[in-house]
Amino acid sequence: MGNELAGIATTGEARMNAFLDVCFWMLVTVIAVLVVYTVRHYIFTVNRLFGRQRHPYVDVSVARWPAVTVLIPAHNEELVIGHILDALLAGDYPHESLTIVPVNDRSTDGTREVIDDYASRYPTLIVPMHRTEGASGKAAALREASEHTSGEIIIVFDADYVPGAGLLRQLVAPFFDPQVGAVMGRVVPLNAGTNLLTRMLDLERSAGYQVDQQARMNMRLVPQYGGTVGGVRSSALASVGGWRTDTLTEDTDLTYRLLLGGWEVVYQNRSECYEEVPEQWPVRIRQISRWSAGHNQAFRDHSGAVLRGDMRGFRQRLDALLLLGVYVVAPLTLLGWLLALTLWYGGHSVSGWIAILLVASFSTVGNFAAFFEVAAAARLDGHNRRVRLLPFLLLGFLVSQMAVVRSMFTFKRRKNGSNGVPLVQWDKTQRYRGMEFGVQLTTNSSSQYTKHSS
Amino acid sequence: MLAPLRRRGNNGTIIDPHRSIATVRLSVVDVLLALGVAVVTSVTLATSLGAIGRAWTWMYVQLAGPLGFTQGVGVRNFDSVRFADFAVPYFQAQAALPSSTIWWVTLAVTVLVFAASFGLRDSLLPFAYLLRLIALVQCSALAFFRIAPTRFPYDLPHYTSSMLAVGMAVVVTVPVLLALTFYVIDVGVARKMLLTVAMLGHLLVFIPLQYALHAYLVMHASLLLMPLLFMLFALLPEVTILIALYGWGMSWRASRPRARRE
Repeated sequence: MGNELAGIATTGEARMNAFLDVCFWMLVTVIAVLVVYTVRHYIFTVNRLFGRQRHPYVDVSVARWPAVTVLIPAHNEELVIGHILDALLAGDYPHESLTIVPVNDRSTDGTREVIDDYASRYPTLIVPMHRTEGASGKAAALREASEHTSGEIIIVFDADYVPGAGLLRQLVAPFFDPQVGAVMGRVVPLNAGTNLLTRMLDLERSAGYQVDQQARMNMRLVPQYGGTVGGVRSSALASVGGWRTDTLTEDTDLTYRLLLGGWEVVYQNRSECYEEVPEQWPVRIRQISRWSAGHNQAFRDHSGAVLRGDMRGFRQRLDALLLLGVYVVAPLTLLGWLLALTLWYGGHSVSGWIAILLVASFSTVGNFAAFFEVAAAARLDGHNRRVRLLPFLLLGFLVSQMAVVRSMFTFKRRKNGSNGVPLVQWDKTQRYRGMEFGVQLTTNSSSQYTKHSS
Repeated sequence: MLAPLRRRGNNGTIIDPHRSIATVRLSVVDVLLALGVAVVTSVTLATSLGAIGRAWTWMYVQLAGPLGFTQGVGVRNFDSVRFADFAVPYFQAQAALPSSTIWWVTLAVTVLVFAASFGLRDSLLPFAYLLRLIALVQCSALAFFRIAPTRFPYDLPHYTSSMLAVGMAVVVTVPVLLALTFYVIDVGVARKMLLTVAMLGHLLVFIPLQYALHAYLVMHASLLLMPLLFMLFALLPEVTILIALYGWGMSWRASRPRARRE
């Protein structure tokens, strides 16, 4: 009897050890994936700081400019839509080649009135589209609007953006290169100094564009078309099947379809445009949840094709895969934490000193690659003092991580159609500009609107 | 020779390139200097391991009385470090398994912390998430010590000495870390050295105090607290300190004008 009990205990012990071994190797795999992303961050930052920069189209300023249609999808944007229309009208793109199409999708505020007012004043330039039926959401609005446009080039802005006078020319210039299918410009927060969150988002945006996107451009990898402050060639769009309406991030999806279709996507770091970033954490969480859900959808849709090698060279394919997987890193990191906790409780030990060094190295050097990228980007931007906020980004990462993990389940529920929530709908980020400046828009019988300063 | 003239402005001022095209100049001398500083610092650290261990031991001897560790301080040798006589201290005391009272009190506090995290206003959301994380990790400890308390594989001396060794490993990686991410940046050599000394000095004082505090807390609140301290209050504060100091260093002005490489 005693021997039997001892045997059972030994078997239990052996099973536990086997389980811990499995956990250990899973943890090693997770760390290996994270190390790949760490190296990627580092290479991008070094390239952006010290490498040769590619700005092949930045000097194109005199040309016979092609016909351009600017699409501005809008849903309840009365606070900001007038600002972007004013900014576009003040731009230096030849008016005879320019058509501005504000696409009002089921707005219930004064968006329609503001747009119609502008259209009545600039009938040859502004051709509004008011959607009251059909599929809802930005992608559906873009799809319908694109079908009715005649311009060779389509430029897209979200309604809260404020383009500078020369921006349209800068965004159109790359299309003189016949290989270019899409162009992306740089997004710069307009309200960066509002609070800690906006300052942190400014740092993140800075890293994403100044370093990530520009390094990919430099290294001929995969600059990403981001759905706003960017454009697409009509023929390229048509050749890959137009905008998809069943995706949460039509921009990522289009980037990959264009690349797989043999088109080039380019990034213009000089083409800066202001946007509003979220000023409240819940708004930020909703934003990142949508991005991650859409990005992971693109991962499922396109990773197979990328792996099959329908791309230009190994490096571009690898970067395309890593870019598709960026939002998988959050759940992987969480898994890593769970595995580490399990191993720790289980008393699993690997050859002492080496393991200690490995863990310590990854915790420091590994984490630092991302912070190096952020700090380098802020320095390039001349925002040195803002770099002192770096440690707060740890908290930001924690929130983002939780939001990304949660979005994976939310998205699944949406896809299944429970709760009566459709897969794709308007998932707008809250606007602040009107509130900040005390602007109220009121309409009267002649569709004029007035601004009241508080 | 003509390149600098392209950027010469009024009264000899320098015209900086636009941020979208700006880069940082990195010469061979800069790379060699970065390597040199990293190697010198690493070698200095490696040869000082024994002295650092002895300094930490002295600190623990001084702290043992005030913290109530009446049995004194022990020393654990790390024979695997062949190039130095590296040993770290620990308090000679065994922490108890959690009593039923401690377990229930901890459970109540954990539930309270978790509930309180939902009461914080939106602007404090990251701290709410942090509180929830703390509560979840503590829940795992509560579950473990409820189900299999005797299988907990660590005691206080082993924990303290191991974490001091991990801390030392973090210290050793600092020069490598800075060589890769800071020495290559365009700030002066004196400032590079200043940040290195600031980081190393801060960590070398912080780490032994940090784990002395851990030992004190575990001694009084039982082993139930050890998982939480290990997961969230060991490496994480050390890395946060490094990042804060690194952010400070990266905020320093460039020692020379920015470049443009096309």
